[in-house]
Amino acid sequence: MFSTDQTSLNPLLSLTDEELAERCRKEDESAFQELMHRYIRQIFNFSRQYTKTSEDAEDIAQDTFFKVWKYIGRYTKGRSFRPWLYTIARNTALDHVKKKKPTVFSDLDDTANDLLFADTLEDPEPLPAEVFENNAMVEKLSKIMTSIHPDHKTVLMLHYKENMTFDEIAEIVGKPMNTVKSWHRRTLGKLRDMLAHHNG
Amino acid sequence: MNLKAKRNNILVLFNDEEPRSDIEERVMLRINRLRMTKQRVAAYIYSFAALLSVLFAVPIINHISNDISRSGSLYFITLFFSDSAHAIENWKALVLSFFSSWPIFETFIFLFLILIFVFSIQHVAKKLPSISFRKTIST
Repeated sequence: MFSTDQTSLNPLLSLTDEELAERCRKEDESAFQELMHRYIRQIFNFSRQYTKTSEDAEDIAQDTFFKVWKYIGRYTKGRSFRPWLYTIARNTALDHVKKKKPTVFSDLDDTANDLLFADTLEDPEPLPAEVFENNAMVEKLSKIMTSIHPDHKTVLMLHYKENMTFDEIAEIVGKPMNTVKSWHRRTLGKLRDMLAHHNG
Repeated sequence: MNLKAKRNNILVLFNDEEPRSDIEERVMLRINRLRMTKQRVAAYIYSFAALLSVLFAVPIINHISNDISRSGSLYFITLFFSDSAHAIENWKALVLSFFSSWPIFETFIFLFLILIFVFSIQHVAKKLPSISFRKTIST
């Protein structure tokens, strides 16, 4: 992943997230800075799903890492660091949203906890490929995305962008894995329906 | 459509933005501020403990000195110097009498207060340089 030159300059580069977190527990500031450097961009973009402005997302990202430092003692050894970090980021984002004016999301929100048998089945059909070849269509989809509940967008983002498993995402959003799979399936379905509606 | 293509398509929906470049510095600044506040609070608590130990030590010292002069413990000490031969001969009885007349409970409290004072001052001395150093940085 890193060249030998880089790791000899900064030995922290060769450490895993969990090893760095362990060092943070011993108040190692450079280990914390390395962790922050690895994840600040991802956490910022993750927070962006919950906020309207990038300034708010920056505040959330800042608060998240501040809390990581403050509560690193609660991080248990052997646990995967990434889900723990994203859980803090999500809770911070939700607190931030609560303080701001409430945002109305789609009706997915009302049925968020209803789990259909169909939802637990295999991965849903993907969105049509040609949609993504058309810039105007992508823009339209991005607009549609703003009306979708942040947690549901988060599922897509973490699964496809951060390559997280549904199990890890379930840990972050604090829901059973089947619910997360259900959100994933429905969000894709919703996007497809909205797109059809826009085109129709 | 394979999973990779599907992944790439979905990724198009999530624009990758860059936060401001000084975001990491701002987090570190907040952490330093928190650390400084913690150290200040600790310094105040330890200073308060040192002050309290001194305040409580004063009446206890008075109490001990009154008890010693009343019980005659000092008489046993002077006996060692004035009549050493007799004192050495009966040293066991003298030591016993000395300890039975000495205000042991108050002495223990006094020593405990001294311990608290030394411990607190030691901590304050440790915290103060870092606080004043960070203060100069922040100003």
